[in-house]
Amino acid sequence: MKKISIILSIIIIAITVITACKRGITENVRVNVNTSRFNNSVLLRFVNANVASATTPGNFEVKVSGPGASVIVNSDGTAEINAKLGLAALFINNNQLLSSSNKLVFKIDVSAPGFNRMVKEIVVTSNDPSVVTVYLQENGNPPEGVSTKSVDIGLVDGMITTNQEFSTPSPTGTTETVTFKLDSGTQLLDVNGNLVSASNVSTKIHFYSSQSASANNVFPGGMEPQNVKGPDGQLISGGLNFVTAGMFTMNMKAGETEIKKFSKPISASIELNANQDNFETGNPVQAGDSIPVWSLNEETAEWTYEGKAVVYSANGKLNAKFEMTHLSGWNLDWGWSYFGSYGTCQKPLTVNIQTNLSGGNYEITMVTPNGNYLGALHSTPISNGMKAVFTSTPNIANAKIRITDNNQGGKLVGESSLFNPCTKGAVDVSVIGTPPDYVNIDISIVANCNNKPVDANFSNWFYLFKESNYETAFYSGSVNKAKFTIENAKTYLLQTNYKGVNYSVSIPLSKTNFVVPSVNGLKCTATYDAATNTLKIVGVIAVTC
Amino acid sequence: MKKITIFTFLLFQITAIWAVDKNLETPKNKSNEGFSIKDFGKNAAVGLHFGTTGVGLNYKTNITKRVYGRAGFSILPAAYKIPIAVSGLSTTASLSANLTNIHLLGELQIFERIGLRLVGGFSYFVIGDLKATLQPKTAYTIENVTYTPSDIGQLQMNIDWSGLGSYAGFGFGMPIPGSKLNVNMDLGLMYLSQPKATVTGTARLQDNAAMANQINKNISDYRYLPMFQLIINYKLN
Repeated sequence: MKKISIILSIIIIAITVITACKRGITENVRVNVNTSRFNNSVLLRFVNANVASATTPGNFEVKVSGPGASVIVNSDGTAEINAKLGLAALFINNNQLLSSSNKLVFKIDVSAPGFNRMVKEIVVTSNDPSVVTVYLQENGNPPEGVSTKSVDIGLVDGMITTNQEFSTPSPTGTTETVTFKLDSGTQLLDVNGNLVSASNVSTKIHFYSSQSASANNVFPGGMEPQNVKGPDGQLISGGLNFVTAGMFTMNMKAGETEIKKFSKPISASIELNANQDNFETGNPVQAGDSIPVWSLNEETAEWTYEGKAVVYSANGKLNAKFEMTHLSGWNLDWGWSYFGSYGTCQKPLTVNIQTNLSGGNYEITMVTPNGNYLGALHSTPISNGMKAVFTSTPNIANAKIRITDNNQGGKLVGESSLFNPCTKGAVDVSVIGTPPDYVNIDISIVANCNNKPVDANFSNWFYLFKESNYETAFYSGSVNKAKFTIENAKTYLLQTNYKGVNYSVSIPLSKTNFVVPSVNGLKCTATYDAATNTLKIVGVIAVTC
Repeated sequence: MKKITIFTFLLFQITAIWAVDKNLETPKNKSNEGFSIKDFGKNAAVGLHFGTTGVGLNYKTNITKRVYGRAGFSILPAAYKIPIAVSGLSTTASLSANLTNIHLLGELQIFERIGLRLVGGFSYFVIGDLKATLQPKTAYTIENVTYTPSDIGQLQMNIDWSGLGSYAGFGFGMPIPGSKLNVNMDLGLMYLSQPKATVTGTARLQDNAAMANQINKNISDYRYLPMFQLIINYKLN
């Protein structure tokens, strides 16, 4: 018995030793390496300013220039920037700490197929990833608040031989318009001041209502330029936030030659909106007031002070008249400097949001009593208790805050009462809606190297759209993970880009565990935690590293 | 299956100790005459031990004539460096082990005049850490971008075996010195509690916590600690 016990003990010990340690500790282990090369990024989101149109900007080149252009790169670190499906991710290739006083400014110039050319200044004031929405005007299908007019004028030896007068139609819902007068004998000159030799000149005018947010968004050069020369011919420190009373672009082409100058000034008269406020006085505009006039050099994105338009009354309506010696974008604007001291009382304003909603895509806009645009925090989600801060405010007696829902075509969803932005300090705005069935999302995306046991956290953005209408649900920049709250039971398109290749997958969101198989190289696995109402989504793209 | 194997093993050891001891205590065994449970504590020794679980002290006394109880503790603080390859990442690993256990063992002297014992019992690991810091040795290239070792950062892996474990094995040498001193040897196997791994990283390796899931799968069998131990006993009475 004793011998048997000993033998059995030895055998069992041997078995336990043999069955142990079958795997190496690091067997099948994948190392996650953060291959993100750039800390800061900006996502340019090009959208059709006409929300009623089904046409969306596609793939096109984004030309970057200006003082900050040298540090703008794509995710591969090269300078060639291309938008894909209307999205262009830019990365900032330096470790500079950005702030309001140390901002990065560069210019983008895009000509998306089917859309008007857009030149816009981009200002980056933070190292946090940011989204800049760039509104493009669809050819022949402008957004609300914009009207167009085309005129052909006969020429003799590059000269207008009969007096010309024509007006743009008023944008829908307004009486605003611009009227031009060109006198007989006016010679048309090209960019070098040479007389054009053509028998005909094609003229195209876009007029932008001062009261339309979409018109404000799509005006070339934007309404918050940094590169602005003031009345003294010097750059205005901190740039300007334009407060417009009307604006237009006028382009003339004689054959292939662009007309840029005239031998003598032509007259432009803008019929003002009946609700136009005078930014300087805080009162409605009246005859005898004057409004600064600015022109845009579309090649340099530089605005120049051109003088003042005088307001006069005709047929019971107010008009502002001025003269032009060259062609470009023209803007009838007051202005104040968000980043500088021009026209500002340099007092911050906190907007306290009270809402039963969470997430979304909203514009928080400061406007004059009659709704003229003063400044805005763009494309932001909202939540109850959120504090949106304007770090500077215009020196104006009365203003109010409006909150509009970008996902509902700019519908007004909240508005404050009037307040003095120089003394108010904080203002409450309520946004009450019907809260949808929300779910918290905890998402990460990695590139799974198929040729080595490495998962790479890569530098690029990912985006979620509601697939029903491509409404933006979420963007994340320069990091491969994010947490946010979106509406449940909708189908979302998750999209990212890795080394120039687009990856996307359609995710029917539900509060369950599910796997979305790879369709375009992006596979998602979702795990739902009911206790926290959180859906953890892991997206994996298979790449060769 | 492994649990059944271990359970069977321990059950067998306990049964064997009990059975053999019962056999030894039969009236037919003359050598057992005049010695019973009431003689508990009659013989005792303290021991200084060192081996694969570290160094420590123990106290041993008889329960019956050939059954002994042993209680003690061991500590093992150790650190050394070895090369380890993790997923193609050639690294230098700084390893440190920190094991502290208290144990309660039973010994059965199988033969009266031969120092061969069955030993079994339990061990509680107050600390059961194995820590490894992995620093890449060379540059690593991903997506045509080469990262230096300092760019990449470090991985820290920690495997924790703390908790209750069991032990079975053989002891060689008389349990209590005939005179003042003797030397014993233990050879056996310790069955540890389920290990739990955690992983943290620095720099570009910060996001590796999930690596612990795979490591935990890999080390689920890492519960058997071979034990070799020398004990210097000092007889107390």
